[in-house]
Amino acid sequence: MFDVWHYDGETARLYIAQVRPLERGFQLVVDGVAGETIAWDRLDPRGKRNGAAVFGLKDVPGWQIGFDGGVPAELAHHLPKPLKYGRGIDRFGIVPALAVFAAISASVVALVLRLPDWIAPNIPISFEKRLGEAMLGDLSKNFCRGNEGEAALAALVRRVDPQGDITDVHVVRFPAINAITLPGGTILIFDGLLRSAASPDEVAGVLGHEIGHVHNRDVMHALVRQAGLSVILGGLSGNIGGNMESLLSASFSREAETAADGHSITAMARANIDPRDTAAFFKRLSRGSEGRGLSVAFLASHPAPRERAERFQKSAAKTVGYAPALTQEQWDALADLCHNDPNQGRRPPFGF
Amino acid sequence: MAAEPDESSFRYTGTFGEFLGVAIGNIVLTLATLGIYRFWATARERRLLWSRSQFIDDGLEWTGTGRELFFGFLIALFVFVFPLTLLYLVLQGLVMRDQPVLAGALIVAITILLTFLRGFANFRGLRYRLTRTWWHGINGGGEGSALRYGGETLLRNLASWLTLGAMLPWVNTRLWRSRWQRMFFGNAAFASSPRWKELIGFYMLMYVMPVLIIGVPAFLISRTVIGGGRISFYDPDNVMVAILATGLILVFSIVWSIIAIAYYARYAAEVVGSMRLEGLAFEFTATTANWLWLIVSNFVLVSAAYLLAIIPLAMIGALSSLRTGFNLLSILNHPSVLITLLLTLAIPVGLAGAIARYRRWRFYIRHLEAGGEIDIASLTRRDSARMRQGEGLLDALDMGAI
Repeated sequence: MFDVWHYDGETARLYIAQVRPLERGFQLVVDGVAGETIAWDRLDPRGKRNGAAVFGLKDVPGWQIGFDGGVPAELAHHLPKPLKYGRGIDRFGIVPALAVFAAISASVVALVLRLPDWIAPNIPISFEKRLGEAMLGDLSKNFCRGNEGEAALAALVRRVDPQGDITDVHVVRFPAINAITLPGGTILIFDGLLRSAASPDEVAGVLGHEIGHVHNRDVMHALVRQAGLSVILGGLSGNIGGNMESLLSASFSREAETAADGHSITAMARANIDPRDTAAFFKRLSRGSEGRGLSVAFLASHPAPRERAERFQKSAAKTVGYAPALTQEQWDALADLCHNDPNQGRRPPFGF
Repeated sequence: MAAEPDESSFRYTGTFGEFLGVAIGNIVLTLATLGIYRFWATARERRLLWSRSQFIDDGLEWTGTGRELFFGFLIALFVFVFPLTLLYLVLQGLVMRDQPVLAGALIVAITILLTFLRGFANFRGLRYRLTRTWWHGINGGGEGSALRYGGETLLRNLASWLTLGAMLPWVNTRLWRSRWQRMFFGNAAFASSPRWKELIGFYMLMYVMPVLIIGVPAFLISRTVIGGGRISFYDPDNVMVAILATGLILVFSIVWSIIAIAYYARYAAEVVGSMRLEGLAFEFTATTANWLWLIVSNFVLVSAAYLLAIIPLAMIGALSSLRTGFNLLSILNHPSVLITLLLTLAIPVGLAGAIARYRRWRFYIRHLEAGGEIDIASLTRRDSARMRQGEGLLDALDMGAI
């Protein structure tokens, strides 16, 4: 007989009782009266409380016995061990379980990171185009219009992309020195870029880069990757998951940007356009971004402008003999496209 | 059984060391499973905290499981997070398409829905915690409709919005009463009727403060800068005014925060102090200084952990921008290296969060008191359907703290 304290789950009364071990189970003796036989495997270990080893019954909520000072040695082999981390983990041990979890997590992350390469090429272009239109929304009202400027833009596109895959390129009234590619292959060149560019060759370099994104379907890759990462990293609470997601996305984005630069360099060489103007453009950008102290490069979505400038510079195969991307008249018309647009007074949409 | 008047009826009997052991295991497993273990981690942490929290002669027992929390989370994800995400996408679309009226209407609708869900989740979460909390072989519970409580939360908050938040003490005390009136422990019912009139005076002080915070510096600036007809910040006079205004805003913000904490200390003392469970009366003894210390020290702790995580990242950034021969960036471009690094850095942050939770729990237990008598023999179990799912909604709304 072993002394225990006991709650029956019916009232809050504390009983002093005894456990009488039998062949397959035990009897609980309360106030000298022995109860029914309880099989050992009905006991549910509840850990320690106030120095007592506590057990409940799996099928009777509230029922408890506690061995003050721990489980008696004679009963130890009958009584189940308390759970530490969880049923599955305790069975294998913490170290093997950790190794298995880490391996599974690593495979899941690796799979999700590869997923875009399998999924993105199979997404129908029509769907991608609709997505692009949805993202574009009202912004199309801010396209700059004008016959000569648009003709010059079309000529520039033909020059960089002679196969004619790219049809949807627009200039948007927006002061950023940038260009973006939307899902579905629409390329938007911001007016700020045209204003700051010194020559059509610079714009050709940026355009070639964006066309590279369209050819590689980078936008779709990035969207699929982001969706996948947000699902698997969503489990990590709050900031940790979000920060990991953006750092990983940034790393893949730098890779895609480097590839798009490569596409631009090839296209310019084929079209016999001088890449050194684009190099000068990136050099100007890098001058703007330096002097801000430490640039944390692995947080950036793009490679460092200085490296990009060097790459374009080195790709120049000759010093003379390049043909300008546009004639002077065409370039003037393109650079002033927004300025000459009669609709230019329209206010920018929400938030821009 | 009587609660001794000279010694606290609630005591914490555990040690920090044993908690730290549990917390470290939890964090490592949570990171290794990309967060899935966190439900089991929560259950494990609570099992420890509850069992070390002594009421009169025995510790509490937490019987909630990680599996319950996990399924609760899944339910919340489908009925709550996905639809809301969809609504936010629609909202974005409306904004992009220049539809301010429709977008505004949708914002109102989302706010109403969120307020309702907050009430719903509060009720469900409280009931869930009570049903999983046992003492002397008896557990707590609640009855009544969480939907109805969600509706009440919405209506009372509407009243508060219409008065620009001036009625908040009324809203919160009435909701507290209505929530706890439906809860019980065994066959004993909770009762609580906190008095909002006790709080409203102090609340008004807090309510009027922002007018001073924004109004006084704004007045000073308008007098000097605009009144003088010059808006040049190179003028030494204006620089002085700007410094003065910034200083005033800072001082007022700190004073306001302290007043807000003082209000909250009064609120906590009032709502807990009005609680009864048959012959037991509860009390919450934390003073404003106690709360201030808890909040500030936990904030410093968590901030320090973030700094600890950021320093190695910043050093790598510094090295890579110094263009040393050894290119660290190329290693970081490898996803597995990046992930391992980030997970390692996440450990101090996770640990600080766990310690902050531990300190908060000990704070609650230290300041919670109960007086009067409870008749153990007549405290019996009460039949009520056990809730199956966990506090998923509560979890998703990030109201994990009691």
